[in-house]
Amino acid sequence: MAKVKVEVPVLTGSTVFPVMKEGATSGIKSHLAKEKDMVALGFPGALLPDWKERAVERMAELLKKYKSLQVYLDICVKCGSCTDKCQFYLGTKDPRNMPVARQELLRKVYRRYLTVSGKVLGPLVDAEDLTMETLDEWHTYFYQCSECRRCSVYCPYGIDTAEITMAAREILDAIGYGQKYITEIIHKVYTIGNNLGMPGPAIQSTLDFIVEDIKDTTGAEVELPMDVVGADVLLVTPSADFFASPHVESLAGYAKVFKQAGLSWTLSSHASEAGNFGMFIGNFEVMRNVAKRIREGIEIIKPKRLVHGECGHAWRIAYSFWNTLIGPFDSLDPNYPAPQHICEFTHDLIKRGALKLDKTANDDFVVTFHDSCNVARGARMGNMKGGQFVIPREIIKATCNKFVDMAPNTIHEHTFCCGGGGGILTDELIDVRIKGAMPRMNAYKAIKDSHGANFFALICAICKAQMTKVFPYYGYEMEEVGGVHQLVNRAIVMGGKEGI
Amino acid sequence: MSSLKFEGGSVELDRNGYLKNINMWNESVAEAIAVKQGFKKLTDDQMEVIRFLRGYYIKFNAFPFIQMVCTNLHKPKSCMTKDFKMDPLKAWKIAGLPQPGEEAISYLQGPVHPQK
Repeated sequence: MAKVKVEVPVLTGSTVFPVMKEGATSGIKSHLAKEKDMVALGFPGALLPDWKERAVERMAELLKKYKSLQVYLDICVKCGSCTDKCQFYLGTKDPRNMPVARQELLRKVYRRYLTVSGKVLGPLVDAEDLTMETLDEWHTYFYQCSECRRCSVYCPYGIDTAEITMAAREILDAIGYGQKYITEIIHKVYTIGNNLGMPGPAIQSTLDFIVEDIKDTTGAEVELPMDVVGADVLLVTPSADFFASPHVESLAGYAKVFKQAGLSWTLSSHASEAGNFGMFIGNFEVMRNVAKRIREGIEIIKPKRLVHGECGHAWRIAYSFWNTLIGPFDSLDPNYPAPQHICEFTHDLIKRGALKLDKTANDDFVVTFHDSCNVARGARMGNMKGGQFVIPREIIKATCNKFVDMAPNTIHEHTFCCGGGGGILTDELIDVRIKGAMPRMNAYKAIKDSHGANFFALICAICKAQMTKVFPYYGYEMEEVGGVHQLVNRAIVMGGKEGI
Repeated sequence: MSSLKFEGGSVELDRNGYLKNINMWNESVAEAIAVKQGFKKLTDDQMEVIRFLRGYYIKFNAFPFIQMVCTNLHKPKSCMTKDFKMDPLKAWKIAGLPQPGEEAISYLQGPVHPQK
């Protein structure tokens, strides 16, 4: 594999509006999708001969289907509010990564073919023909967007720019010009059941190993049950929780919480993936096909409750889309949220005094919390406004003595993306990912310098994977990155105080 | 695709450096792939890692949780990079195993040139 050229920005502790560098990342492109993956997802295997007509047709279909998209394409007044809000512009300095400029790539084609003024006046109203060059620009820059929706928070018209990125990606797929990383992973879910391609016995062998390891290293006896029909709780979590560090540390945390709650629980080898990359390409049918495994998992296990592990975009899907995609969840106990986030579950137990937590177990950490985009801006948690910000922080504060927040304009709904979300966690984009992480890293550096922060806690599998990879480039140890339930895992005192 | 010579013959690698036919693997092939991946000669410990990965793949058709590799060899959990100086994905290629999937790669491939 060819070595990717990487330039790591110097951290200063604050992010400033950079001087534009035209075309700075125009050469950094995602790999094109493979034919077999595209076909498996129901898309053409390669670029169609009549791709131009088909692209315009697909755009028209999407506009008919999603009225919101029509509004978002029409309403932008180019005020520029979003320009300095995107971590990919701030990090790469490429003006095409300003949200307004990125979306203009689609808007100019929309105007040319689907508005009267564009058809008649063409370039006079910024309408442009769809050319192969434009198509390649779409494939480049719509895959340098993580669909994090930070820019949308600042848009005076509330334009959801992620919806525009999703539409562009969906058009690219419809004409046979998809992206390898996302399509290959979805194909893996179709055939094996999870993003990491782990068959049931491989998951089981990992779970057995983790149980043994927890016993050997801490003396604690926990269970990581799989496929237990009739268990009270079905836990659906990203497959990275069975595969990588620090993800598994959170899995151990969930197991200890369930044990202390005195509930029977299980994972499912069929519903072994909470993630749903269908959202990254905005395709409803693909998203529903991926989600279907969760519905089938519920039918197999027959649980009373559905609990969701630490994963950002997956929680958005679960919280905001599952009911439409695979609901209603009539077979579940109506006294509990369906689905319920593991943080809500643990927080509830902490509030009831049902968990004994030894904060000193985390005394070597000064913890800060990174709000993951899709949790912060795409979902909620608990029954209060802003619960998605409050609940994880409350858990952290209950498990350690030293917690400190990063700068206010970089947390809560203002949070910066880790730089790897939305289907760009692939190595050919590592340079863009490192630069996209820069604003977040600057905020971390600032809190590190002022308060000694040394643990970057979060609740997203992609953020964990991205940050453990990116931290060493910036000179930090990957061990500084970890899950909120990793802190719970360390602090929880087993035995004794049981029951809810 | 490229042809790789080793002591006793030659094998085909795909353009990303994975052995085309996993059944063509033996430890001499491993040594030859290792050289291509930037190693001089595999140590006994490194060869143990390779054997474990291969055994695991043949049994489970998947890449193992890395810590499992380390524990199996009685090493600390960060053994791959710290003790064995091995990027897990390179080890996978040396073990003659097929592309483990885009998501696994994004978790396994080490930094291109970390700052420290």
